[in-house]
Amino acid sequence: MKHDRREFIKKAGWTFIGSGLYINLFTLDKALAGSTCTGIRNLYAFIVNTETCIGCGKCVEACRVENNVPPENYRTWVERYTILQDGSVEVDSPHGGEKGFEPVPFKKTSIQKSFFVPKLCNHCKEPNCVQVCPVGATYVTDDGFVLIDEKRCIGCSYCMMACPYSARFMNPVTHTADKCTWCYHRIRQGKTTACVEVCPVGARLFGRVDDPDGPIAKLLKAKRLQVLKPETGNEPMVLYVGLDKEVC
Amino acid sequence: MKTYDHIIRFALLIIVVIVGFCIVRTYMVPESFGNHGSYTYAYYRADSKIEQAARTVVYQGTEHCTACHAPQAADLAEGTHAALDCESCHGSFKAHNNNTPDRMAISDPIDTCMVCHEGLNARPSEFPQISSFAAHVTDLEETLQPDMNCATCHDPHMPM
Repeated sequence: MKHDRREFIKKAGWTFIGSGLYINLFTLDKALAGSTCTGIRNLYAFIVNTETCIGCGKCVEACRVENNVPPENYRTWVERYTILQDGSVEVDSPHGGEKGFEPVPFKKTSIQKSFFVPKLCNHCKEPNCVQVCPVGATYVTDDGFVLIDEKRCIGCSYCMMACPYSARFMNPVTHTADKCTWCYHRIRQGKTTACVEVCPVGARLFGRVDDPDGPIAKLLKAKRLQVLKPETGNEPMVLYVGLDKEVC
Repeated sequence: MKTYDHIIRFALLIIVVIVGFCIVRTYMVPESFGNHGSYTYAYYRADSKIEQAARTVVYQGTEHCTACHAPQAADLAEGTHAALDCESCHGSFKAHNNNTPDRMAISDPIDTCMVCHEGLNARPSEFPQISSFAAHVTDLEETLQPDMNCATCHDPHMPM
């Protein structure tokens, strides 16, 4: 069989054109569609009002009981920010705020302002934690819940490192990653989350974004809302009322 | 005379490896595992959602308690504690099983209130707060008795 250069270049050219056409006609449109249309809609949002939170820790306790969270691990927790007159910021969260807070050891006159910030998983639109999971154990449901499949999780803790909010922890009982599910089981069974239910001052609200009579749609209209660490690009679905610049 | 035996043996080995891989994979990968809309965000085992949705609900809500405790629920709805859920103070309904309703009773009638009403700088100033139980009693020019607690003066279901 004779091989000459002209023949080789001809064949290579046809191959190049043919494969280019194939990619364009059959695969490129699918690839593009896949990257923009994921089929996930973020239908739910959680609003935390830091202006009304009293730091009683009922939410932390309810979360633990409802979701069987092991002691000293938290799916939700409450932080207290104390900003002093000299500009320094003190943050504390004894036992995640579960047993309430003691008065701060500062003189009242030295405190500029102080407030509570409850935290939980942000159920982001673009969650870093899901992107890094090597085994498909964490995922976004088609209505926007970020969940963990504990049967698939291998406990590598990549997701814990990827989450900019430290919302995930290693469950010492199951040895898998664990975090807030927005009480997925309660929502599916027609109830609201345990923390929202027990909050005595309505500082936590949860519901569908597209429900015009729901609490979320009303606050979305009435209040200016902020998210934690917007610069990370995770696009959280937990929105805060009255977030101070010191909160991170 | 050329012989192809070594190539055939090698091809058979490859086929055995591929078939073996396919068989093992069929057993190892759950049926519902795969792409559910996005390789980045929705590559998962769909049955996991069903399993999580089926978990038992622990906190039952005020409506559930009202079925038996209607008078208390009516009091609660009238007073300044109307926004509270029964389980906010009494703890989860989980403790209510085995005919032991006492387990949901308030064990410490001062601490239970002070968790929310102890004066803290971080609390909103309009929220009712007291610096301590003893100071609150003496501020109101009452005599502090040893058996006094918050419920001596306030009905916890409608405190004001």
